[in-house]
Amino acid sequence: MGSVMKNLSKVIPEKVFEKQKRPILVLIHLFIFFLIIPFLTQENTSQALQIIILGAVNSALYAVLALGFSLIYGVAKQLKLSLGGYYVVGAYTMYFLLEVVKINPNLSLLGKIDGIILLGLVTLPLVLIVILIMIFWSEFNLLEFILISVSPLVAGGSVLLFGGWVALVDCLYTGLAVLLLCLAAWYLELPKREVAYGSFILGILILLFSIIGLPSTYISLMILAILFTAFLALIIDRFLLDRFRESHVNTMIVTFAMALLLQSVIQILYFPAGGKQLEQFGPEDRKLKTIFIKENVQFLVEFFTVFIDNIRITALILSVIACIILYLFIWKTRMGMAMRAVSQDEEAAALAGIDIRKITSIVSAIGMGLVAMAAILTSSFAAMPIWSPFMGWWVLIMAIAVVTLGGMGSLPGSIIAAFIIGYAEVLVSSIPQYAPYSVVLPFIVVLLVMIFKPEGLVGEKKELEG
Amino acid sequence: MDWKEFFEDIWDEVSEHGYYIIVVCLLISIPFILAVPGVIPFPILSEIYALARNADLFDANTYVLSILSLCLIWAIFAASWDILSGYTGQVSFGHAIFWGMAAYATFWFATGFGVGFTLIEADAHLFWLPLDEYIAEILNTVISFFNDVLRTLFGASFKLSLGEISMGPIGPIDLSVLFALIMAAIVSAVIALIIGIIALRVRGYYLALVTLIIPLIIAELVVIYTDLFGPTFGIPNVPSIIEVGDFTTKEVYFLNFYVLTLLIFFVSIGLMMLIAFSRIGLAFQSIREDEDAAESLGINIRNYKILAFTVSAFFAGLAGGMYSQWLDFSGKSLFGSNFSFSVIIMVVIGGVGSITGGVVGAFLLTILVKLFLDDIFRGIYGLDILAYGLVLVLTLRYMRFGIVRATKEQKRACVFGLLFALAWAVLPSSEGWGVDIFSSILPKSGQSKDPLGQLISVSVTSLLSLIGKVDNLGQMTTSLTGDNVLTFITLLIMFIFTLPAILIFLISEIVGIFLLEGLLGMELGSTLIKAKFLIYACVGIPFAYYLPKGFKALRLRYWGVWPSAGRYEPD
Repeated sequence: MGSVMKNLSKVIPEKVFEKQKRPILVLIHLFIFFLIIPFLTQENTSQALQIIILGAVNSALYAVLALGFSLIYGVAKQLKLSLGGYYVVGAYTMYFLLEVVKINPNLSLLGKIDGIILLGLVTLPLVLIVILIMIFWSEFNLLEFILISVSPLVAGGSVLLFGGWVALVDCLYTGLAVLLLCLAAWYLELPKREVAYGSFILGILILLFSIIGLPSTYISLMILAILFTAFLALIIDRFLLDRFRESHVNTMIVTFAMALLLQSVIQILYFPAGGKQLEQFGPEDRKLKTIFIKENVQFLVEFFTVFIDNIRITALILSVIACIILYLFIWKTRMGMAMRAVSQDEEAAALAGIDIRKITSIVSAIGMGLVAMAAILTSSFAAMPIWSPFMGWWVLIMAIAVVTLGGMGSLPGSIIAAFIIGYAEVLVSSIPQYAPYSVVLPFIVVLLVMIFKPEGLVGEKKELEG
Repeated sequence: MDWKEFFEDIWDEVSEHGYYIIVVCLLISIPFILAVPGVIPFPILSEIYALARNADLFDANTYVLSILSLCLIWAIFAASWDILSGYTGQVSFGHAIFWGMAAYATFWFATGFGVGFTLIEADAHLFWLPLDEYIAEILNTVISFFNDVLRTLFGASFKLSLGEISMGPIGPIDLSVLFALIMAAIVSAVIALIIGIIALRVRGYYLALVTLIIPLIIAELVVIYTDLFGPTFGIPNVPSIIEVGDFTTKEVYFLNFYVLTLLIFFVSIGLMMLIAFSRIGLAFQSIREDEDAAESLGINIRNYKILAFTVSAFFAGLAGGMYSQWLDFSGKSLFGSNFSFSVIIMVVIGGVGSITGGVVGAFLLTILVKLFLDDIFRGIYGLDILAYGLVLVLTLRYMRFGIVRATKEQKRACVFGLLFALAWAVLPSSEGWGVDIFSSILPKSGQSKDPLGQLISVSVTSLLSLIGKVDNLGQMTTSLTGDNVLTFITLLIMFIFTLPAILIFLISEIVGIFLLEGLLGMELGSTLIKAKFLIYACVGIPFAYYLPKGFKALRLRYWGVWPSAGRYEPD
């Protein structure tokens, strides 16, 4: 154990390590505990392994969800109940983009209003790419500009190369995703050199992905959906929620109303009874599994004599990557430093010259982007939120459960709580006798935690009043 | 006695509470306005209502009555939330727990527990715990005791016919169901007692989250304990408080239900107002403002918080029982957080911390959704939620503290906009008024319900034809005027004198044609007038608010202070 801690202290900065020693210890112990427990309850070894892997996937996704929620609470001091709404927006945006990508350029589009909409959806990325290239031309120096403009060419070209002319729309959207990610990174005040090199690496990665045969379009569309959701959160936070910042209760009510609005807007856009035009994007089969898991994508991976969807493995890997990126962003960049400053003391941060409005809206955008990522990854396979425009409520409740168990505003705490709840859910539902209680159990645990230890497992004791 | 002063006092009192007095009078006189058979119709209002119904603005009497009783039920619920969260500051995000528990408890007490279990052919239940049996046994003994008491009081049959009162025929009310309603309210008050004791430990965000989670737990338990809560899809037949079989028409049944709900509404709102305006209400408000300061003044915070929870839950339970009566159903969905949040939205729209605010919000939203939007956008699920969210965001933007506390100009603008919409949407389209007048001018207005829209479309097409072919113009003008030149001229004069109204009319007509029919592709049909009414109101209210302001600004800019010479008018 000691050697592990020493190695960890090399990786993590010392100050951080001293502060977060306890959570990391707790996490390691929990992990060992969860590794042992399934072998005790299950007779079959492969079943136990399956429980471990499923629990890992489940808890990783809960962790991504809860990190977004907890980050917003920690920095902006807002309890955003609109999480469910953004969850649904993220999932449905991804779904919409997947539908758009299915458009075949060979179809004759003229002579229809629908055709004009389709044409717009195809030409929109082209126009955006041109505008973005112009922006980068005026702001970056030549080498960086060349790197940035080569990366969408590489990414899109690889898609076109392996997909053929049918994948023209895929190619356009892939290029757009790379460029928009660059723009977002630049907006987050990362150094220009790093932005340029990062975009080039991303382009190469997508090329490698297409060479290996992984779904590269899927990943670029996911980036687009996440960026869209984050942008929506940014706009709403900037122009609507800013008015209600003083009153916590008003913030909660307004964010809840935003969740209601977003979900019902999605409902009306996707399942209109009276409207005609918008229905053409509606799928024939509205179940999710048939959409996200395409035939060529879905296969089972044999993993220590256990069969698991490759989508689950992808979700696990991507959510771990997201956690690492978030960690690096918070501890290594200027914007992350500003976020930490705001979370510690708003007034002092304002005195030091930090634009608090900007920081809070960016934080809410990042958090909602994480939520959208969790949405895209979860809703592709999970049975828990049944696929509908109103699946956000369940997600909101789960996020609240995880965050309160871990401690409000504490990121390591929410990861630990995600581990506990994710594994507990899988464990309880694996025993048929107690399966119906797996739904209620997290709530009851959280209720008890809230009543008897409101600061959570790892959180600091603060004054929490409305 | 100084009569002048006396009358001035009365006038002040009336003008201060004018809106409330008008609303209460309207609520009482609704059976007379609707002119339900067996009731003397109200002189003028009933005729106006008949005109509006003629123009398809309102549905059948039974539907309107049932929606109004729903409004009353929601109003009780909203006011009960306001007692707990608006007055005491203990924000509850899960008020639906009282609502749902009371709905189930009404069923339990109305049927008697044993009857309830045998009536339901329960699903093959997943779990069997002896706990259910104990609970059922205890509650059965309680209810049989109360039944005995009732028997000794009222005789063997628990029915009391109130006979025919001048308001309308009130039929036999099933007293056992009334008793069950009150018992259900008491049950929810007891639950609130427990929750209140728990809630003493947490504050602010945590209280909101605890109250948000509790109803969800109960909703999951409802599915698991099928012995106590019946089948998972819910209980379809709740025993009715008013006996259906005794009436000849359905209209009379709904009228009776309305009158009963109105009585319960007045009693409970009156009680809540008594509590809110008494010393207890003051203590509640002091807890909301500052707990420590209140404690230093010698207010027992613990007791007052629990009292607020209990009182609020009692009335919420009453509303929940009445809702299960209205819906004729009680199930898991009644615990849903959409109920908890729609009640919050209602109170926030109306005005937090005033009992009347919740009532106003409940009436506004329920009528908007049930009478208008549900009919216009038929079959779109989730539209009520969209409407709630939009109205909430708009209200928080423009009337920060609710409709009750809006400025005088805003209130006036609202009233003007609604009256304007009523006049311009209804009068031209109702038979005997607008349709008859326009049928002489327009060629085919006999079939149309929207003669004004037809007029506009004819004039637009004539204008278009002026651009293309000049020959068609003469034909168009003759078809416009017809033989009745005089009627046309009077209409023209009317239009000129109501120029601002025409502007609003044009805007709303364009919005209606392009947005509803063109963009959304709706076939409005019989709901055309409702859609138009809403659009006219939406355009008319801001118009009525900004027009006087703009006029005043113009006047100050160009004419100085004239015509109110010498008076200082700060904006």
